[in-house]
Amino acid sequence: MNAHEDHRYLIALRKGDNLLLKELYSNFSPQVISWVKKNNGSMSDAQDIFQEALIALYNKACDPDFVLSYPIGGLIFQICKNKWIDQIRKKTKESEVRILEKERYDSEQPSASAIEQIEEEEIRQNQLNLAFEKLSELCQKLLKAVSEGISSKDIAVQLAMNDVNTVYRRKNACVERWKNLYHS
Amino acid sequence: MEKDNYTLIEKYLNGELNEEEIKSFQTRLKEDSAFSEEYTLQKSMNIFLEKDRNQPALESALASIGKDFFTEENKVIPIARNKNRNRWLIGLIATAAVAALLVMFNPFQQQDLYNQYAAHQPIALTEKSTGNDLSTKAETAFNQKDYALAYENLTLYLQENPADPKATLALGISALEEGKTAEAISIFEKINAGSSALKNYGTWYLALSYLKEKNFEKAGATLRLIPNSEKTLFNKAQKLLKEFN
Repeated sequence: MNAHEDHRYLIALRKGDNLLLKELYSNFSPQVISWVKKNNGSMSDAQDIFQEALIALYNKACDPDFVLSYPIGGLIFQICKNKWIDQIRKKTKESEVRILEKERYDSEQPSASAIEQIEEEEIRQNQLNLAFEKLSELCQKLLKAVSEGISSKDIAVQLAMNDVNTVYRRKNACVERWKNLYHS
Repeated sequence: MEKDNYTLIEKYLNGELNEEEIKSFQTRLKEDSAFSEEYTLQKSMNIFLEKDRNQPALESALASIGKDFFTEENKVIPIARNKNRNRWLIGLIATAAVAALLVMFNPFQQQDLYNQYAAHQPIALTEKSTGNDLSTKAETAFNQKDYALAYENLTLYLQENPADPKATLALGISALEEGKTAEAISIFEKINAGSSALKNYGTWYLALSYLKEKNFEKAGATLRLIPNSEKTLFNKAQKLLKEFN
């Protein structure tokens, strides 16, 4: 699918382009504010939800396969709605949630699959985070260093490993352990 | 076996495979669901590690931007715009007020909404009467509501000055008035997606185009994109939205 012009907002999230990020807030926060407030939320609830939605989008912005082919406004609004529905489900009566749940599924938007992908990635990231925290400190340091692009030689020195081969072997073991923890 | 997959996926993600290998990799992704799952997880692990580095900075940037937009008075701070808010915009706001009055007291409430709201303000393309014939002609035709002639001259003018946002907007309006709705929509979409000072006018006219097509759903969704930092347009948009109900 072709990229929508709004794909630039995803790049802005990844690169930290504050000017474009301000534009995101300027264009799309009023709608979220009024919806959250209408549904018993406060201004600060709206702000939190909006930021969480942007972080969820940021996950996908880091995915080389993800292309935004729809306007971002509708996507942000729907993600915010879903997040707020999840939150009030935790504290509100069943009947009120049911009314709101309708809003979640009534909308048969073409962007539904994009929203699904974004929400799935968010869940995966949370689970990966839980698993990562269970890794040894050495594994965590090693994986971060590799991801930063530090050379195996430097990593060997930094983490007091014998040689490059040890770095390679340990890294593979850490990845395996991380995957197993994720699946467990 | 799994280890081999890991290395293969890593090579793919790092762009280290040749064309043929990429092809067979992608075919396997489609056909082998276990492999595809492994790929998705490995990609997510990379995303996790990238996020781990950059997310704290992003979060603090978002929190600081958010402070300006989520205030109790619901004040939205406008993005820095062109200081050159010229007489054209001032005239536009003034005439918009007149148009709003006309709409309010319009005895023909039943006439269709597009015509009620499509009050196009005059444009000024020639800032200091530079004597540029084409721009003067386009401006005069547009302001005299001769949209066919305006369309023609604006098209020529834009060939020489492709980056002129006012002329682009006027071309869109002329196209809309001339029944070239699809072309108008594509022009307004570009303005709406851009970052010129007239961005929100692009959004407004995009909504009017949908309105003209009687696509109320899209018109409504587009109207809701207008931020309340742009007071005049925001109020007009809210008023029009109420008419839909």
